[in-house]
Amino acid sequence: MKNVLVESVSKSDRSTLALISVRHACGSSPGQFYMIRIGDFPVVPRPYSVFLEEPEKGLTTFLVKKRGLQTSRLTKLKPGDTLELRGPLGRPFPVLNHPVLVAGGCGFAPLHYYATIHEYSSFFLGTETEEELAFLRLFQNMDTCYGDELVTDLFLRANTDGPVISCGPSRMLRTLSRADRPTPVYVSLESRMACGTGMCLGCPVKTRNGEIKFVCKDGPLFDAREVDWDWLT
Amino acid sequence: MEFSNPAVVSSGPAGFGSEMAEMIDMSRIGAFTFKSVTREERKGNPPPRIVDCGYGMIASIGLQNPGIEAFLSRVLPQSREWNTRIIVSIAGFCLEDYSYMSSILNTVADFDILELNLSCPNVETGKTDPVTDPEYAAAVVATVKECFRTRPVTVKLSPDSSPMELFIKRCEDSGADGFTLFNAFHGARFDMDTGRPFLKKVDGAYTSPALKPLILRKIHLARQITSKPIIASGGASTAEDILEYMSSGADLVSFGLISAIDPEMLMEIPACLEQLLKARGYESLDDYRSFVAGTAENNH
Repeated sequence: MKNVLVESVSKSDRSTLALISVRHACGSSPGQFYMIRIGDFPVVPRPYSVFLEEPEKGLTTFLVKKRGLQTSRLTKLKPGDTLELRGPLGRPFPVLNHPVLVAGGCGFAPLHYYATIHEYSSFFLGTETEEELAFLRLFQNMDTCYGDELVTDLFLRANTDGPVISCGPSRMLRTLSRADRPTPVYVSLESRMACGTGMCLGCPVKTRNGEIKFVCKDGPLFDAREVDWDWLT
Repeated sequence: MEFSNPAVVSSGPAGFGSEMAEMIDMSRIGAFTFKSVTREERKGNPPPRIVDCGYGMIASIGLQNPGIEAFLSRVLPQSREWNTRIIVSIAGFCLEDYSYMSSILNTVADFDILELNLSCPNVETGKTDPVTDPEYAAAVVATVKECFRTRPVTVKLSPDSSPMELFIKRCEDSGADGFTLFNAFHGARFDMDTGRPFLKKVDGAYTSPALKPLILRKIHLARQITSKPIIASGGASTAEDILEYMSSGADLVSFGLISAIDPEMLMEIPACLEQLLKARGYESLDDYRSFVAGTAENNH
């Protein structure tokens, strides 16, 4: 793993979300992720999608939600601290013809990166709280919701056309997979993993034809019709 | 058998090696152990397969592997270019599985040691369980030794196999040429919000650097029972650990979790080891082995 310096940390009002920029840039593409850890604890690194890479500044930014051992430590980082990372890993998202982007919570990260580089038709975002939404509402004309209102309902009501790229909790992605659309719905899956490269076999996805693929090396993006959701969730 | 260095990649966390070979120079590790292979293909367990524990992780992969035939035709040949010692690990669900696989492997080139996984904690083994029944473990070894005569056979025991002395003696009596000590401890974690286990099969293989003192103690005890080579397995993550495991009685030291999360670290081991030895006045690892052998009497 490579040690990198934290350049800046910005947080949502109640500090549940943080954007952490590190002094590192090596040509990642939207959809790719890094394995990240801080020092020796927790021992096992976690995967984080790239939120933004700014080659001219030499920075890569990650979106972190505070909800466990490692994320608690990540959200406490300050400029000048170091963290360890490996990557970029995983396959980049394909560039589609004006896709609809649908994000839930931290699933916003790879779609944000995609939207900063490529054209898209509309962007749906749902968060757990109003303050998280305020922190992540970074593009104009986003369709947003928070709390009990589900981003899947928002998306389905909108009757959009075109392919979909989505990222968020697996329940949300499964709902989207049932959308009756002539164009594909792509889902960027999240999973626990140890290596991020396909060695540990820790992040399986079973396809409808019975093949075992892996989020880290075959994904993270899959055609929702390809996924055996009963096995996955 | 000579090894370029005592660092072995253990069976499991590094899978079947192809990804690792793209990241590191495999010739700089002492040996690579393939993930265990079974007679038939296994799809493995449904997710989640991994749960974080802070100081380590629990994995419940479910022995996913392509089966012995696909392994021999598609996987093993890739290792020809790695220029390191190769250990093939097999896991069976009955004696016939072991005799079938070891008979085939007996005439296959491309590997140096056959490891018997007598301890995978994720698969139901029915009435005969090599983890709890030393006679069955011995029968597995005897069966394999009858079919596989061309290279050494090592036995990977579970830390839950008790009494350890009996398992080691019975396996050695049946012809084991060495031991890999140990496979992972069983572990489980529960979600306090739902009251349910994180893993669908409840438990899995717990790997952690924090296991090191537990494994060191058990190897120290094992070394008093057997003079066969011992590959230490569990908790090693640094070059310093190699010398400590050797002090406890191990001949080689395998790296599991760290191989998966930081494979590049394996590349630093030979140089670190050389520095450690030099700083202590040893010209080679063999000198250190002699030192350890000389002090072993006092440790017992």
